[in-house]
Amino acid sequence: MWITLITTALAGTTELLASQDPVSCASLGPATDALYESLVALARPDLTPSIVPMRAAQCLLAVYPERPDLEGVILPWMRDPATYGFALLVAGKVDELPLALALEVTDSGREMSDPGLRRRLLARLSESKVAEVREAAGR
Amino acid sequence: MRIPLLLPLFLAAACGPQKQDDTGDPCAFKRSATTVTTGSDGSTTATIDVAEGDLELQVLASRDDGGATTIDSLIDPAGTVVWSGTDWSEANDHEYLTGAPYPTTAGSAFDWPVRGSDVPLSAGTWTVSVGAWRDGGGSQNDREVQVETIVRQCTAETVVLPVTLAFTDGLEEDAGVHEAFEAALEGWRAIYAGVGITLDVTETTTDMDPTLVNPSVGDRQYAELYTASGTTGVLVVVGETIADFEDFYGYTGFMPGPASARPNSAIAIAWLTLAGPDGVFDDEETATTGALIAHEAGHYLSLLHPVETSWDWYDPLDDTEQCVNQSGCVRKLGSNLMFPWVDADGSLITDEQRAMMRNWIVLQ
Repeated sequence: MWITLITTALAGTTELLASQDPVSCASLGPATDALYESLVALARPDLTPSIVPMRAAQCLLAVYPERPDLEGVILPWMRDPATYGFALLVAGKVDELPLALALEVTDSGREMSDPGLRRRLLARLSESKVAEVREAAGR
Repeated sequence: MRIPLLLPLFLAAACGPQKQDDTGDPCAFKRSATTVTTGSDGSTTATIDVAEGDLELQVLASRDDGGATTIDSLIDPAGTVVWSGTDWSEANDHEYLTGAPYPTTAGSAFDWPVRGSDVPLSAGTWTVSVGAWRDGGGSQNDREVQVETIVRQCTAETVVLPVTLAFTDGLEEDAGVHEAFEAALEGWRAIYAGVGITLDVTETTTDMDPTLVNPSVGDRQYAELYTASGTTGVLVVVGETIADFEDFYGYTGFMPGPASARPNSAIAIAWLTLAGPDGVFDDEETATTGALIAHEAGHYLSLLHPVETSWDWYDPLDDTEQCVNQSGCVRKLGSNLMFPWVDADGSLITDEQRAMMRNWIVLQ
């Protein structure tokens, strides 16, 4: 029963996120644990159409910036070339994250394994309006 | 219905033709600017001198005080109302022709004629009605509205669309993105070549933030970039995402697009949203990008969605079929370039859509 409910919720969220119309994060429903789990499951680089994982990632950042376990989801994005698009998305939103998480994001960006992508990612982070983030990106 | 009550109050004016014959272009643009003040009903009028042989006009209305504007009607020299925004409201078959009668703080634009079947320009004094509105509220009297008019005369047919493609700072160093947009440009060229329009593309860079302001909201940086481009055409700005509209692939400043430097004189394209989680364009994403730019530029050149996704609002053209639900609309119109859901397979442009594009102020 529990699995059925989760699967149904995931399917519903996927359907919404796959819409060819713009989708607001608010339209996904209240910020519940179940929605969080659905979004985490959908923020996968191999999922198509690619608008689905991109929207899922955007909504994770927009709805759950204070959630403690969010860092476990987004920090790996900052290091892996296969999720460079996610990493840039996070870099563009870094000023909207809590400062501690923003600094962790920046530190993780310094660990991006591809040197070229790392340089561009840090350049993007160094455009932050937050001095501490700029400093961390430029170290 | 709003009826113009006052003659225009000319507070400032600057006019004069900008002949382009010395550059070899077959068209000349006569530009003039004036400031008018709204009357008690929140509207007023401005006049446009049209000479024999003039083919197309564009009216731009804006305010310096941050308030919203509309362009509400156009009256020919004989006093006939050839277009009225209220003719294209919900009460009239759920069709719309232009964004001009809808209040915007970024500046309004209106072209005439719009369709191939519209009343052509004739020599004499034309009158345009403009309105002032609170942002999101009612009409405003005693407000200054800046009105710019552009009238085009051509000695020969021109089918060249000047395009400036601007990459936000640093993006030009990303070879993958650059290559994807080169390929996307070829896709756009192919789609427009099908209706006889040739793109003349100049690439540049801009220090605008990669998180782009939605051009329909307006940003003075778009106006500055448009001016710097040194052309009268279409400005396409490529950034990462569109602020507050992060899941939009692209957005056009206005329908029709202004052929002048304005805060909404741009098309914003979100490359990161298009490329997806890996930040790398595959063939399908590249093809979609080409179709997307062609679609957004279609809006700039006056084209509307043949149907909106409420499935009950339509463009005013006879050769784009009407439909009433998602499955029927996808079946009938899904292959059209201006179908609201953009994909690489949708590149069809009908004859009447072609006529609308060719009527845009810069084309013929």
